[in-house]
Amino acid sequence: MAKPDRDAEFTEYVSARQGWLRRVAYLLCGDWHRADDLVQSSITKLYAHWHRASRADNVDGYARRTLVNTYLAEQRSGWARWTILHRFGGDGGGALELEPGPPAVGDLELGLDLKEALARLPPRQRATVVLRFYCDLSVEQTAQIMGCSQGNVKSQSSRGLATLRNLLDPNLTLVMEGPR
Amino acid sequence: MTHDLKTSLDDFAETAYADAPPSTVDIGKARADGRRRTATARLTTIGGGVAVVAACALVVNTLGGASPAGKADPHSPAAGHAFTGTDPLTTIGRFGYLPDGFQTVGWNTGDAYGNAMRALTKPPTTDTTPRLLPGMLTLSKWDSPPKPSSANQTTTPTTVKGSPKAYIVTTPGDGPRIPADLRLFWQTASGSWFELGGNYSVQVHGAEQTALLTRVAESVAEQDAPVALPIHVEGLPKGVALGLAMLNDPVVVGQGRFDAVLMYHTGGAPNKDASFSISVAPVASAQGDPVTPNSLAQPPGAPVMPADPQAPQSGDPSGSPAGQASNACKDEKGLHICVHDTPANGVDTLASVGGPQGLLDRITSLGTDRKDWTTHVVN
Repeated sequence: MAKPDRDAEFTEYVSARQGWLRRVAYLLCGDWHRADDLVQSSITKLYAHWHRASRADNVDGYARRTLVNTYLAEQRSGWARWTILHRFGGDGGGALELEPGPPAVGDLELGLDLKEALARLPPRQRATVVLRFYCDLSVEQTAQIMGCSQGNVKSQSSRGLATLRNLLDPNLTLVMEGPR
Repeated sequence: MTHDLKTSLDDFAETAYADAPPSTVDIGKARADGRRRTATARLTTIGGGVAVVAACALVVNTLGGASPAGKADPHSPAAGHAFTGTDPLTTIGRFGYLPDGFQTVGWNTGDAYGNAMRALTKPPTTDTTPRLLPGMLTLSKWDSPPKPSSANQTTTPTTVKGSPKAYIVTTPGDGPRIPADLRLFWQTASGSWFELGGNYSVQVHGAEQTALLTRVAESVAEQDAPVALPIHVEGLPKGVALGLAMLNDPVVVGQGRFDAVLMYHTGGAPNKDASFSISVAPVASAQGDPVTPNSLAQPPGAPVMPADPQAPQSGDPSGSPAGQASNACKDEKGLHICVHDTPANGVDTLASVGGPQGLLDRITSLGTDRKDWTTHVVN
């Protein structure tokens, strides 16, 4: 049985940061119910490692990393691919699905809002954009969270921004946010 | 809207949160489930259990064929121009083999995002066909071998013919339905490193994925060749460094449209430097500005630029005031060309050439026909 103070500490932290975790999760997945599932799964993992997380210099960073990893892992599941494919027409990382979906989204209509544009990013690009621009993390920090090289973060950022530019407005002028 | 991407994401998250349904997050359940998870992990350790990630390898006929990767490149240098100058966009290599349907569609180079090229395949378009996700292979080039940055990644030596050193970096999956992610790194004869990874149009995992990546890798030849672009720029400001040159042309696999970007900065960190960029796309695809034209262009905290780059702006011939971004656009020979200026730290890189409009006047459109494009891009 966990120590009461550990439970209290954990409960206090999650209560205070739940709104923030939900927002990040929502930006990652674009659906509040799924965002709540992501947060639920993430805080469960967080609790299992609370002895380590609570000693971290940056508990928020630990929680965010857990959340992003949970999201990315889920993206590679068959369910997530189906959801992305059929709801958004996006790229879930590669899957052969047996049910026909809506027309393929090769048309990339312009004038999409930010929500839909984000939804059409492949998972790692989307996570990169959220971490870099919403969470305001550096390339190095983003690479650590996503478990990849800094170069990979740069390339994911580049592709993500290019895709968003295409979706939101074809005339966007791409300027680098570069390494920080 | 005139917000940058960070502001847009902040606003979007706050607005959405205001309308969000009540949270279903259950902290008590997380504690209970977390305790069970911890207990299970201990039992697994005691029992010496090994988690097995069962990649469900499907027989993938579509990957059996070879794409004509070696056929004539639509972006090879064009003839017939009197331009002189250099090409900021060069290839890092050439695919000798690609899975069936894949074609090279994009290149980027520069100190901001590194050097890479991409191959795409066209997804099926009929509703009755089981839908395959678009597939993409990305080849990147590095001066030194990237280090695994996560403790849960594993590095496994492998063999790529012609390479002195190669390895696979695996990011493990999670459970039987979530396969591992593989990326292949190999050293070239020149000592640099290539990285190959990507998404696939079909489910390919494990040994099959390794074999596919290896086959593609062994076909890659280092190549530093200029990529033809649809504009010529007669005279850049002095003292600027290339941040990014990019051409994305999925049209070759029947998708979307092409677009090209050149970005230059004053030579320090691209996100903090004064910079300018040139974007090019077909006029037919140029439409309004529903959300955040600059959001994608701007680093967090960068100056806000005017709302609508589609609406041609005159630009200040004397250059925009330092610290205030501005842009100028024109339609010429079927191309919509914009110059975007982002001064910083009191420096405006375009001041010496008459601001964004001044640089725009130096740009010649070569149209949408790739036969007319040039590798003498910047003089």
